[in-house]
Amino acid sequence: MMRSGLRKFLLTAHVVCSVGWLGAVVAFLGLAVVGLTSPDSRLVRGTYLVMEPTARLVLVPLAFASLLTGIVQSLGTAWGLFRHYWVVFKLVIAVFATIVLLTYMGTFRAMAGVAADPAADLDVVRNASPLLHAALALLVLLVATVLAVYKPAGPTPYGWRSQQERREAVQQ
Amino acid sequence: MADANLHDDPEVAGRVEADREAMPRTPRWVKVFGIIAIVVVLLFIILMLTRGPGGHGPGRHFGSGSSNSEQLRAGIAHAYGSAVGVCG
Repeated sequence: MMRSGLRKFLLTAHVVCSVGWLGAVVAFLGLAVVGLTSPDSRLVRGTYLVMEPTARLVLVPLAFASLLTGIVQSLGTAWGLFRHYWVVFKLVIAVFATIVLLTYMGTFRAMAGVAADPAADLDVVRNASPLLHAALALLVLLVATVLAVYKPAGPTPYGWRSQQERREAVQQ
Repeated sequence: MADANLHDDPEVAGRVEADREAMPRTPRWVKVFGIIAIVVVLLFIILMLTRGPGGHGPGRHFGSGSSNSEQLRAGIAHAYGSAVGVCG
């Protein structure tokens, strides 16, 4: 088990990274709406051009930082990584969202390529895909946040066995 | 008193102890979340396989400039305009 000071430091780091990730996704949702609705062609092209570097420099590092700090945090506390269902679900959500994000980086590059082409029509530059992905990412990350706050009860079979072993060890 | 009498019975006491020791049942929320997670992951894998290597590309879900995209854009623009109208 971690010392209290280190545990609180890691918890703070995990909360900052996770909330930062959520906030960055909300910002992307705003960018996606601007890209779809703005009548200003320079603004629309700029929106799709800025998505790729912003995702590379903000979304991807925050996703990995959230995943890494979450794993370290869980391993250093009584919650464990596979002892409680809510922790397992949070892990699955973070891994899945990070994989989808990394897969989607190619789309950001392709959309930036189209936006950079002055010959491309504005209707071709506009794309609803970032809106859909940002909305789904927001939903998934909100579910992870709710799980982290409410911590619904339910030990996994492994968690229950280790709990029993600890109880027996105390009794002996 | 009734409880004390029940627990005096070695058979009942044994059963109570066995219940305490039994592994708890999987909570309902875990089952619901599990089914949703499996469906989402399967959907993602199917999309990746059917869309070919490289997976997500622009316009995979809505073609650029397609009628779907246009309709969605018009809807969002309308909602955005209404919100600005309400706020302003």
